[in-house]
Amino acid sequence: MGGEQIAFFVDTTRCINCRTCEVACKDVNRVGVGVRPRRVRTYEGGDFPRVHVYNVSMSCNHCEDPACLDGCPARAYTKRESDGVVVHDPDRCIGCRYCTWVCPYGAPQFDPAARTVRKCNLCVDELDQGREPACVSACPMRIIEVGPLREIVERAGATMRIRGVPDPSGTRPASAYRVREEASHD
Amino acid sequence: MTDARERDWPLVAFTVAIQAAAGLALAAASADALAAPAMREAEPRVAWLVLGLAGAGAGCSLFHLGRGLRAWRALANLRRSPLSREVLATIVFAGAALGSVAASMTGGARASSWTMATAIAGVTAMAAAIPVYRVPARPVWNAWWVTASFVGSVLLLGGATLSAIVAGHGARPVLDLLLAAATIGAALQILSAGAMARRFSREWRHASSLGLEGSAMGWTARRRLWLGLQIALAGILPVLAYGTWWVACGRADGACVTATATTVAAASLAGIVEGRRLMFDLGASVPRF
Amino acid sequence: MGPAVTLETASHSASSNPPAGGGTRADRTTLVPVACSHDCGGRCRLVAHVENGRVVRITTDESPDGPDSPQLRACLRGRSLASRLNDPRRLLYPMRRVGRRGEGRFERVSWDEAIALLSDRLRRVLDVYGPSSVFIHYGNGDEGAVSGVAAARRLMNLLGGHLGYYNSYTSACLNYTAPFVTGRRDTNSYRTLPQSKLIVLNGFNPAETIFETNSNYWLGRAKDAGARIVAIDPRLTETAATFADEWLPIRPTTDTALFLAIAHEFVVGGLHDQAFLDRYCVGFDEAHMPEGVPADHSFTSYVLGVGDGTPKTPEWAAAITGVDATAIRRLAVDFGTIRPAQLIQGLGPQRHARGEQSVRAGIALACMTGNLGRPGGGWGGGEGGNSVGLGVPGFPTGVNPVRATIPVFLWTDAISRGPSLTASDGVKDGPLESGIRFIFNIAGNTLVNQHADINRTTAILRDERLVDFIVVSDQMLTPSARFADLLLPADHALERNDLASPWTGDTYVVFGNKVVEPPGECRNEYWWLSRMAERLGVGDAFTEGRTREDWLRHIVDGARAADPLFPSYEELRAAGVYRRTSTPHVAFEQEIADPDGHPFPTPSGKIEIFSRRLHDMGNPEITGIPRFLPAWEAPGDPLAERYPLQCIGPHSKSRTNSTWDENGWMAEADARPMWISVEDAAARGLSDGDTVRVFNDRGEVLARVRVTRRIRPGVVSLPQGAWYTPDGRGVCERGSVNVLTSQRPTALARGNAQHTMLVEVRKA
Repeated sequence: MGGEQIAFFVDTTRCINCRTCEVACKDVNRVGVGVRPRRVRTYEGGDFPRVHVYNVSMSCNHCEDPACLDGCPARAYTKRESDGVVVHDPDRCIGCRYCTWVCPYGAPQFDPAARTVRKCNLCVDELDQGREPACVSACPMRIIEVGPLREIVERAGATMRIRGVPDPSGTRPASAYRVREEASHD
Repeated sequence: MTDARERDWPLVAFTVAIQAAAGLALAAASADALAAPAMREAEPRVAWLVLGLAGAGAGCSLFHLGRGLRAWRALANLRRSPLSREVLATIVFAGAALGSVAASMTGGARASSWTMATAIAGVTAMAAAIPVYRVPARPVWNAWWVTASFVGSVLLLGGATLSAIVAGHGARPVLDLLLAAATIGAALQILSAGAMARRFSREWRHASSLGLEGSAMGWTARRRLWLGLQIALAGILPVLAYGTWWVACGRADGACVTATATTVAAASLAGIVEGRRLMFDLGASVPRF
Repeated sequence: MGPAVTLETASHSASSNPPAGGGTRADRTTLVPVACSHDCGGRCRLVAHVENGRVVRITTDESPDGPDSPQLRACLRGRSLASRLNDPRRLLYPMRRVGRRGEGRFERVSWDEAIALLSDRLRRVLDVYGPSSVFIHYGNGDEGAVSGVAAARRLMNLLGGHLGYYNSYTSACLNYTAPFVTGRRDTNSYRTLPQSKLIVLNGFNPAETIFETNSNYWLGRAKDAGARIVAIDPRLTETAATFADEWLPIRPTTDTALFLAIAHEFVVGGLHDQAFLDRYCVGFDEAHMPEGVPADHSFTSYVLGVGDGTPKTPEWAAAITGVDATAIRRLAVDFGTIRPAQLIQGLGPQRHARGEQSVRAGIALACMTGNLGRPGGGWGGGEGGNSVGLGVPGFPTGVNPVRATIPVFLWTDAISRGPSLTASDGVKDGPLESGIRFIFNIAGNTLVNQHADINRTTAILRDERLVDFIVVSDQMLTPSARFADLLLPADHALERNDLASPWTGDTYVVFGNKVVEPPGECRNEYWWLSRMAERLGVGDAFTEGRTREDWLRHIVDGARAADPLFPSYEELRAAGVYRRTSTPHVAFEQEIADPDGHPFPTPSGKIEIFSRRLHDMGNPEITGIPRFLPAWEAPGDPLAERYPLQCIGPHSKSRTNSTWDENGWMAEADARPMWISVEDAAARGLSDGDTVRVFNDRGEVLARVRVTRRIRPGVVSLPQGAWYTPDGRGVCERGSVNVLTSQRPTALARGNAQHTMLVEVRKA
């Protein structure tokens, strides 16, 4: 890869589950009901009244070994040389939805209106104009960031191993999350 | 995900039709190898049936696509995509089935070679479908039972269908072979359905323990019914029917055998369709990221 | 600097000098600052992206971000404005009812016909029943500087007046009660949170009820600064789940008992700040009681059980509240020893049967710990420093010649038995000359959906012998709009220029530009009210020759007169916001710093933990000191045998009261299921996602359940705001909680106790 892999960092310990990232993402991607390129999943555990909850806001992790890219029969996916962003080209997509099966993180989703898959492309158009991805500039808690993967993984608590989230060994996601204790794996 | 479930039927039809066609081609080639006289008569009809099923299956798969007009692009990633390879294998199979039909119509000496080639292509197409489903991101599917289910469908549908076609001609060694294959196929249906159920329960319980939203739909009454129907129609019924036939040492008359074999073949097909529907439903139902 | 859009033509060509908040993107999209105008305490900066006369995207504040001036970032609702604006179900034409009232059958009429009909019917009602029969209903669905409700008040005040109301559905008990204790309601600004070492959240959930744009931002800063946060709530809310170190899952309606137990621990452990109490308060102990009150009436006596023989121990409270006595003790020790500490009461606990008592008990705790008036300390009913703000003048509504007012929650009674309502019902300057005969319902859904006991409400409204005429102005065919005699299509905030201010004390104002033309024949209320005024002979007095736009300029002129830095109308329009740096506001700081110079505005000049005024009312439900009074429709009520579950109706993140209920994006982001505990679900054979019947003697609704450990067993929560959608048998298919709520008002404020109800749940 020519350039440096860029990546999301999400501090889930401060996620209030407000779903503004989901909506801002839908807004920029102009998708209707049924597609959420970024989604928040809520996990709960513990026993009443010592209950804990954690929310994981996740979009495409722009994996280093993307399952979608290998799985797609139509070669609609490319991983950009310049920044490692996994981009989906709706013009090549045949709408077979196989990527929605093979992605462990549910990033590609079928858009019934467009009859193709839609996926987070890290708002590359925004980035090219010197702006932040929609979710980053939307988050009322300011907990979603983008940066070089090299720096992201050095953040305090940065991990990709989250209880209830698929193991990263399969696709090597280029993302990192900070999670509360109950959500860490061991 | 609800959308994926709504659009499952083309895949149910596609996989079942291809497996039925592959099974029939395999059964026909086996019968052909045994040089059954009854088979010679049935050959053109079977070749047409294989072509019809393979063609219909491939056609149905187009309905699965959001952009059917771009279907040709499905072959663009043969190097890495199991789906591309499945599509190619299916096309080869349909081509071989077409060749079989042509060969059987011309009555040439090559008919047997075409039959054998079609059988091989059919089994390859079935086998090429297995890696498509055995993906880590779909833990319910990513298990041996998918292989067992697909192989079982080929054996059951092939054996049951061809036995219904040739039963009336009293070709005992061929029937023995076909019904043995069908019985093994039915047993595999029971085993794979049970394993699928266990696998789903485990994954679903895990998701529920995480408190994930949408983890509600576990073993609903409707899903239990589907599973029961699959096991009854494509498992227990064929095993009992063929077992009874053997116990009775094939003493029933031809018409009765044909009627029974046809009924069992139809029931098996219905059971497998039901099971396949459930497979897609359960695979998409476990909450996951 | 020119405006980003031209008003008259709504052309969207980029201005040559793009404003700071807007501009033109490379792709020929025009960016225009707009405002969110729904019934929310926050006011966020929004930017509409306009392409070919259509709003295609909404983005938010992208100015420099930082703790001095954190960006005013919009929530999911604000970010979805375009999907609501472009909703094909918008009302487009004036319509007149055909068929019976409430059936929802209408025929299209012209604006001329509509205004003639409206004016003539109003004239007739005024002639026969007088101005006090006209009611301008509670409606905040579309808040702006010249709101339809305010304009209707101005019109009616020129026509002899109208029946006024006091209280709100938001904070009746809080706003009515706090002045009895501290003389006025005041709260800290959110900026004080990072100074707190302990924050106790009582039913306070800004993660869903924003309250102020940056409420959650400041809670996060407090957490970063190391504050311990404890949540007292029947639910582990999004706020509690994110921020709280400990969750005390309390039975609804019992907060006061918990506070009393904490007070008990303070007293027996000597943790209270006696000097503070002596100096600033009356009624805490026997030594500081007003003249002439019998012995043993002080707060301490009550807490220790001197009068009633029941010390309010943690064990006593545990039996009532369901919160573990050890946890109560731990909170008492923390609260008594960690300074500064803030107790923030959300508005939910005061929307209960004994809402007044919990407000008073909360203030008492803040006083006992000496936290009131100290940075990072104190008490907030809600929060946000309501007493500050930018001071932008409001639209002048004039003086209402009708003196009589009702508590707003009693409006249905004012229809059914208006003249017989008395002071004991909360009528001030009564009696009413007439029942309500004419209703303006503008940008509101309280006519049906948000008032309690929908079945009773709709029965009253359907009786055409009672109310003569209902005019509704709205954007959508809401459950209330279905009861209109005349239904008028309202404009959307993005279809007009407007100013929008936050409820709380944050010091900014947002300018919302008109970016598109209203669809169909949608009109702002000021337009048709002006024409009505003309027809009724008060046209000039109503408009003073001003268009709505002129009034906005007039308001800005007023603001500029008071604040020389306030921008001109054009500057504000282009920038989209005027913001002054806020400083942390500490409620009652002055009174605490200088008690002699700034006494509390109460009769005693002090904080009245014992209120003589309340004591003298002689009502056993209105007490001199805050007491725990068991609520109706709560555990212990014989009704609980039939309806064993307490039901609360919290706000959800995907609605602003009932606004957005119809919106698909919102339902996708948060489907607002009814929460039920694992235990209660198991006892009823329910699984997560099941559809259930929820019912009591007042009605029945269907709801989808979320089986969760996040709610206390014995309690269910059915988020309020779902649009009442009755099936053939009158069962609401969308789960509108107000089918189940009661119209019984609270004792003192006559406020809405819409979180107090008992229900049963069964699988549908």
